[in-house]
Amino acid sequence: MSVKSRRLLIIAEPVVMLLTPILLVFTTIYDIEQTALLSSLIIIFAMVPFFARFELSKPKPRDIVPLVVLSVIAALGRVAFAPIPHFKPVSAIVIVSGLSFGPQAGFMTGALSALASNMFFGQGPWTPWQMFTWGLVGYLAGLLKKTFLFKKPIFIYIYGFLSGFMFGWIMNIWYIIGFIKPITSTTVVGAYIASFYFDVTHAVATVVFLIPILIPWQKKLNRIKLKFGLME
Amino acid sequence: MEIIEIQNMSFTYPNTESKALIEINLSIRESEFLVICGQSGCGKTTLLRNLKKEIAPHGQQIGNILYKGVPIKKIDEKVSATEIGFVLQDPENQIVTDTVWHELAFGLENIGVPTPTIRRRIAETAHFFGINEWFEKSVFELSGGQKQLLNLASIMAMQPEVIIFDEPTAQLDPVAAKDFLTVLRRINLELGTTVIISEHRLEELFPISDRVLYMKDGQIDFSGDSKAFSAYITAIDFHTFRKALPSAVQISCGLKDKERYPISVREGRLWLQEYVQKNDCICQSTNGGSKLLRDKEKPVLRAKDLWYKYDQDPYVLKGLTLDIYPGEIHAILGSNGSGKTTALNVLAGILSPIKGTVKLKDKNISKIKDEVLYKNNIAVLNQNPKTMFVYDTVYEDLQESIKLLQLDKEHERIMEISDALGITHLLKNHPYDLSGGEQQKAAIAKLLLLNPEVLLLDEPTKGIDVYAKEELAKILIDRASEGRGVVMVTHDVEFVAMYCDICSMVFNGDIICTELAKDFFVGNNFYTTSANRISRGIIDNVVTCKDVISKCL
Amino acid sequence: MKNIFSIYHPLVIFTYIVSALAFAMLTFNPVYVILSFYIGSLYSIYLLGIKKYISTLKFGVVLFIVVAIANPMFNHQGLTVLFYNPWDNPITLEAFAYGLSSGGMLVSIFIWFNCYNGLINNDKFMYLFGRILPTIALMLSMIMKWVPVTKNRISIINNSQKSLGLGVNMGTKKQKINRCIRVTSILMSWSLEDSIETADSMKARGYGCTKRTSYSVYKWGTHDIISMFIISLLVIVNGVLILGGYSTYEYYPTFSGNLFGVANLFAYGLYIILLAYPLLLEGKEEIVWKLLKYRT
Repeated sequence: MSVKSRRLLIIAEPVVMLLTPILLVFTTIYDIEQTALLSSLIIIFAMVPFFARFELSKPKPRDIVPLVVLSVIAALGRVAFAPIPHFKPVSAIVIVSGLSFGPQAGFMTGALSALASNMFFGQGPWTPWQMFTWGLVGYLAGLLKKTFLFKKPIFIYIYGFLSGFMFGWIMNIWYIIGFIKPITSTTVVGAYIASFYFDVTHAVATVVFLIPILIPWQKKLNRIKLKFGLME
Repeated sequence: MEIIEIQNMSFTYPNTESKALIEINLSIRESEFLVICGQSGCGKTTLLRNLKKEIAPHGQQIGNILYKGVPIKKIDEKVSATEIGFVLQDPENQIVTDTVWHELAFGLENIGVPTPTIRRRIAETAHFFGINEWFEKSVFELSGGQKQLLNLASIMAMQPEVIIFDEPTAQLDPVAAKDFLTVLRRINLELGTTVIISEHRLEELFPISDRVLYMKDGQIDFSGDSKAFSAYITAIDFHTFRKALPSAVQISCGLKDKERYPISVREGRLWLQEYVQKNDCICQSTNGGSKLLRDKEKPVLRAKDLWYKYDQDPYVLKGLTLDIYPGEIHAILGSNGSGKTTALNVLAGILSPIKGTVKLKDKNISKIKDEVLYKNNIAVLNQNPKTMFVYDTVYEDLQESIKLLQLDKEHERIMEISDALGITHLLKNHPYDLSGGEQQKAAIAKLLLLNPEVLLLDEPTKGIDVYAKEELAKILIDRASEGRGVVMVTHDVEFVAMYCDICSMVFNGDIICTELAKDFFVGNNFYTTSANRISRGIIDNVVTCKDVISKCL
Repeated sequence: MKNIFSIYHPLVIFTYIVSALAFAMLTFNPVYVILSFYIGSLYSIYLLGIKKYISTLKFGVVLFIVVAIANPMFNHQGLTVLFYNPWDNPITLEAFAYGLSSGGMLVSIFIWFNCYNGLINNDKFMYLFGRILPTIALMLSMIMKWVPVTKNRISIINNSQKSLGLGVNMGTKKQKINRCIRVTSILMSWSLEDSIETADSMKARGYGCTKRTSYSVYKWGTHDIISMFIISLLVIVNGVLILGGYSTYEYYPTFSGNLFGVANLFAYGLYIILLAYPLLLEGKEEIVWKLLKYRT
């Protein structure tokens, strides 16, 4: 792939991230009947640049396997904690992956763990939304790593906490714009209040898992990176 | 014609001073069956990996390696991937995809073979290896032996000219290992594929090899056929590698025959028969099976009428009864799926039996809390020592045991046990950077610091070489002589015959006999040591090479 | 043979099920919603049995009730006022009907996903995306391989930790969580270390040396081509009919739109044929089979 098109894809990721909410709002305002379908399509297309860049970068086996391992652990973690709704370690693991291997890898870990765990629970209309959102959680973690904030673990924990809400809020969108009509401030607030308890659980769970694994896991991943020369 | 030619090749790993390989000169003919042996760490793996550029280790390489006259680094990637195959040690980790058919296709997909061709190649390969029946299965359903066969088949589908094997049977049980080596031989004989293999199982490999390469400290110490190699090793008194040779040749050399070097059991029998006739040995032994006499001792662990099953599956243990006495090494033998490992886990209190009791010195272990049971009482080493390590250095992991017991003099205790097990030089290393044998010793050290009365081990000799086995035996014998009970579940009859006191055979979920190790093997026909199979009917009541030699002298 | 449709080429199956799903989300016209719900239910029961269907339905019904009640509670548009809630806001028939309709749509989406899960197994999914996203599809296949292995490893680690007196099933709640994380950490180190060998095995077999081909066990047959053609045709016609506004039904400010005109009935007929296509195939197969048996 040429340098130019690769650059284009790098720019495409943040652009798509910004464009997605705008498009979603757009479909709502223009009162299109098919918003449920349209919004899902928008989310699916929003993932295209991420996947395309990953494919086109021709990842080496040693770049692939750690992501596979982390996705498996995250997916199994989700299955293991299924009895407690919304209390799951996925976000925490995805964040660690994003921090250790960069935004791209963070996105892939998030999206693949969502897809893989749904292969056990059964796919549903939520699959693309979960893929996108968990991907985003990992992607942002990878991006923020370069900022001064993430030098201190406390800010990573805060990010973890917020990511729990971000997850729930994005997941709400599909429902709100697809099935509520007309959308008023009361209906939106109502939906967010209804999901508040679950969002808090998710946020707390992410921090609970993040605190014990963040530093040791990063250390373990760095050791592996050094020993086998991964992701150079 | 030479297919691989190594000229003056040396290799140094990064950040190390000594060379891992020193001036290797070697040419390998087409269709040759080459066995590479030597102690762990002698440079076998480094040499093998250097022959396959995709997985060659990082480091500095001098000299040349030519494949069909072309330097290996310069061969086209596609040619290298197709023509040189490589089978690694662990059957599980090598598998990439989730289904058998996909795994078979994986390599062909990589080199861009079109679908119709792949279809045909896969069909052919599946037919050759007889894997049609599990073609559609998920790889998880396969046994270890089947997995390794699949790894080989998926490489054979690419129609390689050379296949390199790095201890391919180390993780397999003896039956699966023999099956695997039989297939290897077929490939070499029927297809003329060049085979380069490093292995510890010389007994099975020597009869089918063309040439043996012995490596020592990164150099080729010897190269020649197996009989010449046997002559070379046995010519030196007390050569450390002697114990790794096939039993037949160990016996013949022990009895000072310097002309004929029997390799297989069959050759060994013929040789021994002749020897006994010629030298008029008195081989009839009067003492029958000695009785198990342990009246005064009380068993430390008593299992009575144990029944166990996993979820909906049929029963794995069916009324198993067993006593473990202090001061003895007790081996539990049995084939795959006989319930050995389950038995060990139930004995250790990890699984609770559905029916029956396990008593530790008259106390039912299901009534003892885990915190108490696994301190100063029972310790278990499972098949994979990696599951024991949590910290970044061996030292910290050992420290944990002492903290669990809340003892003082931490450092002294760690140093004491490390000395006893010979791992002092490894304390600062990361547990995962140790070799298999070293990892195992470190894990045993961690367990011994918990001061167990009974030490249970699941297949401790799996994947380690003769030297590591000897060290392990010493550790176990020392523990037993301290008055602890040692139980091991194993497939390794040679190890059991040499070092264990008592043998129990598990079959179909029950112990069918418990005997002194020697009596046990004398009483068996197939499930016994090579030395016993060689001497059966010629000399009575012998199970180890040492026994045979001492009887005949 | 039961479930003849599942032996069709994955692309045919995928086109069908994705169209059914998309159409389920396309219109709030109550007749379309009901048709989608009924045929989806029938096919789901046919594919996965009544038990699985009921468990999906239970989940769906809860959502249905929530949506059907929440909509009139928060939405006060519509002309036909039923009554006023305690905050003096009107509860309207239109909002209630819309709630029913959107709740019904939600339920049928779940049911159609049920059918999706019954038709598209992991192999087919990976085949479909293997061409567009080969690396991702391979990673999914690797994940599928590692999941059972990893489960097995978890129980091995659990056992070995238990024998250090650190089992996950004992101790205080805090200890339990710590021990769970300890098990996960060991698992991570172990799997990561081992995965390097997988990477080696991939490289040794030429991964990345040239453009990959994608082998599959699936082939195109005549029946696949015919069905693909019919399904595509039905999708286009139905799409035009629905998106062209022939079936638009408005809830606000009050109900408007024709539900049972001749043109409407014709459109519903085509919709039924599309959704029930695999069921019709099964029926045809059954009849052919019976006839064959009768003749011999």
